Amino acid sequence: MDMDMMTPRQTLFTLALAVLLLVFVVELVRRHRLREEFSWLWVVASAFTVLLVAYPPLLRAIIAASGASKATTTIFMLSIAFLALVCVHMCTKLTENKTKTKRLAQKMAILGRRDPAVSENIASRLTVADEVAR
Amino acid sequence: MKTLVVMPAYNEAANIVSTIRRARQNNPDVDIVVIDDGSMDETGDLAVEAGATVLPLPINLGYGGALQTGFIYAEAHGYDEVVQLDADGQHEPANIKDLLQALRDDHADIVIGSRFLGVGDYKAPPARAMGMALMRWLTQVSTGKRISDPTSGFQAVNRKAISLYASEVYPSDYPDADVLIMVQRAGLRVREIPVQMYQREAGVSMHSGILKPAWYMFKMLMSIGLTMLRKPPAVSRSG
Repeated sequence: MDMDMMTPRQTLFTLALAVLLLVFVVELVRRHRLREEFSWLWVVASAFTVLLVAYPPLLRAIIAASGASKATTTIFMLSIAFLALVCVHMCTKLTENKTKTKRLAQKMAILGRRDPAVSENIASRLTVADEVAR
Repeated sequence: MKTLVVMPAYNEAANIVSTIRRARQNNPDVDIVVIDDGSMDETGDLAVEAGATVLPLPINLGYGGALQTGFIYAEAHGYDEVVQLDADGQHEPANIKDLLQALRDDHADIVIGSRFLGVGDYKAPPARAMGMALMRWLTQVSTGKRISDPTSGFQAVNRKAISLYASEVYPSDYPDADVLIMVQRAGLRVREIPVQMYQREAGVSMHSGILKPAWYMFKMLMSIGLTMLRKPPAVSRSG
């Protein structure tokens, strides 16, 4: 049996990728190039990948549950689901940012209030300009 | 009664001065604030010279965000009533006092100026008329109340509505029938009175083209659906 499970080479390769991803993400956070709050999803994903290939019964259970016929297909499927999740996560952050930017802009507009010019000659000049425009 | 006329404006140099002057002539006692939504023309300077207070947005927020700036300003400065007026000359400033009168008499929280109640001869192009009919039907189905012109941006609102509009529940892109549904779910009372509306005086409407209105309708349908899924917002009792 186990024709459909991963070959040792596939297992090693996937493990290597997951570990690389983990190291890369941790390094980015360490250098303050990536915020911790955005790193959790990636850390969880790579840890889950390691668990998945290191502990075949889990992978087997997921294959059975999803109805997929091959281990590799299952891994692909999970990766795509994860990427979709990351995209949605990004969009929620974008939404948050847009809301904050809007509030900031509105505050700035109110702080930068320009009061009406009430000088008589401006008023009369405008009256003339307005008549001309008509 | 402290009353504020709020006019969001984006590149309206061609219309802004005459709109402000007409609003001022018809309503000497109100304050007029123009929200300059990052215009690239002289809109802001002209509005200041024409006698309006101007709030210059540092970036373009779009109609909803600009309009909301006016409500936040009104709330912060203790205004009792706000009238929203389009800067492009579509709304007749002489009707402002009618809207305010209805707001005070009828014990409504929001008075909408409707172009379809017998005054004037506003004629929408066929596609837009269909869109408006759909909005009218949706508003009626979801609130049980018939509003002849749910897409009208010519409105007068009291303190209750001002604080609701200044809060997070106000839509970020474009307030329309979805807001009317939301406010009625929140328990605010909406009335309509007939007003005069014109076609634009100059410049380009934000509802031109083919794809844009279709996309707009799609967004508005989604927005109305979501409004129905949300809990009605709580209204402060300060009004």
